Amino acid sequence: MNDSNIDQMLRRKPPTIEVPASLETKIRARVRAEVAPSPTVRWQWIVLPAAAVLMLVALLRNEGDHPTPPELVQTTTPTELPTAEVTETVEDLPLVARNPLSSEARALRRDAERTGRFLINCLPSLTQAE
Amino acid sequence: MAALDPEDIQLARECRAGSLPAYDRLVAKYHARVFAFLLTLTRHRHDAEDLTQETFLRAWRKFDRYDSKQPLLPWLFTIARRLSISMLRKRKPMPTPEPEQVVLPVEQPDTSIWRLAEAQLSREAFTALWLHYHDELPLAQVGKILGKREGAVKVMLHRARKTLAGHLQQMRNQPPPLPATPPPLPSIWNSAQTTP
Repeated sequence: MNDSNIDQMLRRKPPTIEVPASLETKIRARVRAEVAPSPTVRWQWIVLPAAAVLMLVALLRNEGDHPTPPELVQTTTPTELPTAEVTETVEDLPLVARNPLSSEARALRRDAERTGRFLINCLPSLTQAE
Repeated sequence: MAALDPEDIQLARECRAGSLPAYDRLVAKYHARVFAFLLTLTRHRHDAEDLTQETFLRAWRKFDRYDSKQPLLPWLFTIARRLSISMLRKRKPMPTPEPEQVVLPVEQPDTSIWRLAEAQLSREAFTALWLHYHDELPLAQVGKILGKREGAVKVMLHRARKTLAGHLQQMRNQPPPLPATPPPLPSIWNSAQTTP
């Protein structure tokens, strides 16, 4: 029994192996499962874009509901302050009133009132002097 | 290098383009040979079945990396061998079984030499023998699949043949076995499944 005899024996009749009948089907099924997306993935593709659009619409609507920021100069309406309020400082006034022009106008008005009151106070003394 | 099969070239082209019917044809053509090869590596039918499925799945995913100048079957064998190594590494080491005593049936001498080879040779030597004699792959391709040089495969096959010759000679010199029924041997194939 030498090397070439063994070589011939091995070449002559190689055995065949019994392959499971379902193996080919299983391989095909696995490859198809790889190719086709799963139902979960398909469901996500339908729902997720719609949800994203809805969220975007809701956000835009909320943005529209917000009031415009108040314009300080326009909202400050010059009001006649009572005499008692003359003593209050600028810091005590609300934020909308802290307009440099309105405080200037108020100061001028205050000066005018003081001047007027001074003149009224002086008039009787003049008449009395006569 | 083995000549490229024109049918394989066409199949590879269609598979690379993503054709499932072409891949079905490829599976039908080669799944049995890949399974048989994996059986020689794992010596376990269930593992070989799982790994065959995994091999074809991996091949489908990586078809863009297939070199169309190379034959298709050795490429599949290379994927299969890598997967089997990966699977064996993940498992805990098993105790090495004792070498099996094979009694050659006189009426089937050609099958019995394969049984003897299965029992007496290492997995690697048996796989090399299988690829060269059963799948008729040239030594260079066998080396490429097993990650060895052509010369190393040649030496491995020579030693395997020498081992088999020594065992055959030894068994022929022994007296015939007693008629008591020997325990069934865990073989990877059935003796009834030999090709005519």
